[in-house]
Amino acid sequence: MRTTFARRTHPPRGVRTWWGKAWLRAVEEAAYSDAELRPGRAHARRGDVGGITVDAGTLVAAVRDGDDAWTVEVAVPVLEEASRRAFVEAVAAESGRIAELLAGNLPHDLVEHAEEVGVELLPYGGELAATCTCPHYLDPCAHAIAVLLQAGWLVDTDPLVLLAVRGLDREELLAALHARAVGGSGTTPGEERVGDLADDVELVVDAALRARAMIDAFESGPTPA
Amino acid sequence: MSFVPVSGPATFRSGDAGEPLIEFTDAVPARRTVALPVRAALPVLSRAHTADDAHPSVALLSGAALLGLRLVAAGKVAPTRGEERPGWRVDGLDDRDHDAVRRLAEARAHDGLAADEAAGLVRRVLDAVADAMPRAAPAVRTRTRPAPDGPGPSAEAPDRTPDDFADRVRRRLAERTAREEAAAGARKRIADLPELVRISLRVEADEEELVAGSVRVVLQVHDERDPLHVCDAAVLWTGSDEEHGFGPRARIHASIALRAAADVWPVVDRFLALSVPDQLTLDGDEITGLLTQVGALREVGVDVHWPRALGPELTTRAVLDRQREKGERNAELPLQESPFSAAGMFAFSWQVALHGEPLTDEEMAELARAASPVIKLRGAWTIVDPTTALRARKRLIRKATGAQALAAALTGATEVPATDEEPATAEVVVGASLLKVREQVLAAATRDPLPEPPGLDAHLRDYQRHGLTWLADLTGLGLGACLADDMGLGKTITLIALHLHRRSAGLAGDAPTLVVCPASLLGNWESEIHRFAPGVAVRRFHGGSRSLDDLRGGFVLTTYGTLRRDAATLTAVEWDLVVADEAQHVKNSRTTTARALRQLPNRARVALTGTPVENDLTELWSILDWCVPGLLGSRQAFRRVWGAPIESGTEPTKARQFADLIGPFLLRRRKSDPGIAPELPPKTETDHLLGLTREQAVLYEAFVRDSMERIERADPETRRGLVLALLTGLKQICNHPAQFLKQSGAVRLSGRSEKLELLDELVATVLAEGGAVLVFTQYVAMARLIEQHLATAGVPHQFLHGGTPVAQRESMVRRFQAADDEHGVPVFLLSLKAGATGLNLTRADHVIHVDRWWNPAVEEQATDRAYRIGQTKPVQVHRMITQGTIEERVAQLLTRKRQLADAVLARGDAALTELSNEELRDLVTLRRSAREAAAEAGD
Repeated sequence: MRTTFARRTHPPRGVRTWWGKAWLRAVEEAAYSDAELRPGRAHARRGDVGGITVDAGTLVAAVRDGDDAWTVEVAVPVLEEASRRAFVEAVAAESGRIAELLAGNLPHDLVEHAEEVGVELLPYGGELAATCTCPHYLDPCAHAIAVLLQAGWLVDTDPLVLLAVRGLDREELLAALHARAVGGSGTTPGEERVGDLADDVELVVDAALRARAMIDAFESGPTPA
Repeated sequence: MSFVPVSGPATFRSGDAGEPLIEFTDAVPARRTVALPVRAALPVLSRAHTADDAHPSVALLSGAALLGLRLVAAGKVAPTRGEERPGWRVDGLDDRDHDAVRRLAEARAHDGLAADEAAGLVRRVLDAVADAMPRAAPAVRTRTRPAPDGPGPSAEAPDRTPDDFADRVRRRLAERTAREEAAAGARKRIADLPELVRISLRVEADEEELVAGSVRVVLQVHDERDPLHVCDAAVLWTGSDEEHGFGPRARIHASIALRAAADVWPVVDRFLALSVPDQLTLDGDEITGLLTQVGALREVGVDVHWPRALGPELTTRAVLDRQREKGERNAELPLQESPFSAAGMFAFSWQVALHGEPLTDEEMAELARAASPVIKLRGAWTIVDPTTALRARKRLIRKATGAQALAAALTGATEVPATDEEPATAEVVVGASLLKVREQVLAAATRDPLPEPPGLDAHLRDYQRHGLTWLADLTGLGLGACLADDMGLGKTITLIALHLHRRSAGLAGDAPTLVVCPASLLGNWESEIHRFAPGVAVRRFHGGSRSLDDLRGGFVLTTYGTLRRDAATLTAVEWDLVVADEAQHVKNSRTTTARALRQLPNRARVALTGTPVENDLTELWSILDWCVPGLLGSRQAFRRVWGAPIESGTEPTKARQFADLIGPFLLRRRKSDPGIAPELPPKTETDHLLGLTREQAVLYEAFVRDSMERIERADPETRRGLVLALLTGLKQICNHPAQFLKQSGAVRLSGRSEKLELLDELVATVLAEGGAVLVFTQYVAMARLIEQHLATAGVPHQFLHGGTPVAQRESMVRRFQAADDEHGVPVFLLSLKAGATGLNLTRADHVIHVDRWWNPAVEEQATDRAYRIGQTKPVQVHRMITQGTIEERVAQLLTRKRQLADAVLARGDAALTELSNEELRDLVTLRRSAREAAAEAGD
């Protein structure tokens, strides 16, 4: 699910949480030199960064630099399916963890627990690959640094942003926690008789069901294209 | 909107590979052509079905496609037979279906296409749709069976007979439909399941756990909207939604609720660390923690449920009783020795009860010793609240003074030190020894009245005897009281009777009674004591030569001013009864006067007031705190415990408790009360004897000296005029110096004449009673001064004099008579002559004569303005007479030498001009006592 956060004009009082700081350390690691880091910080604090759009694996934002505006896209590796499942297990291991996450707190022991099962939630510097439309020859450029720093502010206030970037947004997490509880009974009705699938009767029945849906479309008039 | 044109003719044809295509074209001019396979054409036809600009041929195809879909949806599809390409066709059409084909063809037949051709086209489209909808071609080809209608079993495919196939399709379709509907229903049901939840903690324990001093708390989850929908957290976490009936987010909400509870009671953190937060085992300290946090948990919405068998069944209540000294057996109160003055004779202590049954001392001791909150009492396990444990350990709450004990006994509640800063109120159980006192106090006002005491030269009315009895009982217990009857009900005589009663009952011994009152009432007290208790010594402790030497019983009268100045002398006497008349004057307990009043040694205190003090809580506190010190607590405590809750009106029980508390000490009868009014005489006359101020005395003496000299030297003609001038001047001085000095405008009026001060008292009381008053004076100038004075005090009034036009007179009378509401004019000033005739002023229940006319007939006439036919209330007449002056002398003449007076005074002042110089000098000279009093009053 894609979320765009409002543009931030004022710097926060400072990144305070341990995971927010970890994110910023990763950004500093990713920077090639102070020559990008310093102007990047300045952009971030001046409010040159537009609204950041967060989606699984990407952060996209426009950055103003004088009269120019550039588009920065940061790619963050998303968790693989197995890792996501392992992470959901880690959250479910203590009933208080989801409450902590929803309250804007990323429990240290949750992250440790996840690391023990091989899930690295916080990205390291090398994982933050940024591209920018500006002509700067080094990646990440100052604009990308600015976007990454502001993303750090977002992550600092709400660790669920970090999870969303990692491909596990709030709704998915909650749904996964629920599905985990329902536990294994994932058989949806109608799929239990595999032998029927190739059956002519089944083909006709399928066609009938599809035709019904199509009749609805006929009768309800033109659908918005 | 669509790229596929539908405005031109569309055709149904076969493609290169024999597959059916539908070709759409534009209307003129472009003639764009798009050919689509049937599957892809269906959405286009679907849109065209309701489009207005569709070509008739498109409409026909669209209608045919819809009909085809309906047949497919009904399962009327079968594999093709004998075709090269395996495929599907419509099959099993009934009459209605054929009918539909025909009607569609007729309806949509258009130029260049007859209905027959159209029907053929429709049929082909139906088959094409039937072939397009299934995902795949049929698996089994039945090419070898050309005859579709051949009955009987087929060797190759016995189960492939058309009927059989159609049946199976129908059955399977019905199954699938039902299943999908059920699934949709289930999804909807799950969406309807409650997700917003509250949590609660259920305490459980079995015997072994209890022996070990521990219990379990089980987490429960409730539907927020339906608290009865509840399940254990374990079920919510591990069971299916059929089992617990909660929606998918319920667990997350429960976790959030747990997190909030953990802020209040940190033990909950242990729940949060569990993957399934089902239950925790609590040790002794944690149980104590839970017990203390029950209230805080409830505030965050977490209830704690105790098992019935284990619940905190121990209750505590405060017991109030006489403090038992070691080895003392007798709990009887020595009633005669004023138990309520001694501090610390009573004590509140805690009593712990199990299911309402008080614990024995041994059980209390066991409770106090217990280290764990889980103990076994009377064979059953009980959880002991930490507060209860603390109360069992330290049973004494506090010692109490007699008044505090009495207050608690009367209200049934007391403040107790709570665990936190906030004082709490606890129910009080009254011990046996206090119960008796309480009954006595409560019965005082209603029991059989005492007989009239010996030495009282009057007949007490019934309500006065009740008042006397009540005062006698309360003062007999060493308590004080406040008698707040309406003015005119005889508070003074009741007090005199109380003095005589205490004397004859041997309670007073030789100790005298002290009456403290405003200076303007001294004279009245003195004359009433002389009148109703002749032979009882009365002494004024007021004026220059005041002394308390050789004091032996009797009455001592003093003023609040003298009490302030000479507190030392007055506090040196052991008084029996101390009476504060017009006690509302001592409002501020911090003043010197109030402090002196409190320091007077006494055996009993009585406050008298004619104003409805119960309406002003601060005033009430001041008066009752003097009468019964400690009953209402300190001023601050009073505000907190009684004042604020009563005034806010939020606690009705408080007001009732308060009435229970003060009721026994405050007796107020109204003139209008049933049973009192019939006893009152229709008219009561009171002479108020007043003193002169120093200014008045100096003026008076100087004027007498000066005038007498001139009178003695004058010839008879001028003498007569001089005498009249003398008499008029002296009467003016007695009224108010400002009248004599012809001062008007912004002059100070208060503090210069006791007449004006008494007028203030009377008017204030009348207004407080809701009555109305006529004020008569013979001088317009005096009336103007009074007007000015009343205006300053903000008292509504009107003034009628000889110069008032008749029309205005009538409207004044109407205004006075009619207005009973707050817009009325309750004070009516009249100059005597103007008021004496032709006015009917029956609304007035008080008449005040500021000065005397010295003609009883004229006075009567004035009084009768109020006391006449139509009057339903008793009328009180107040006459003001300055003591030691010509006013008093003439008044004595009027009563003592009635015949002479009638003869002489019928002509008014004129008769006095015929007195000799000596007689005249005797008449007008200011008596020494009055001069001294005046000198003292001016200190």
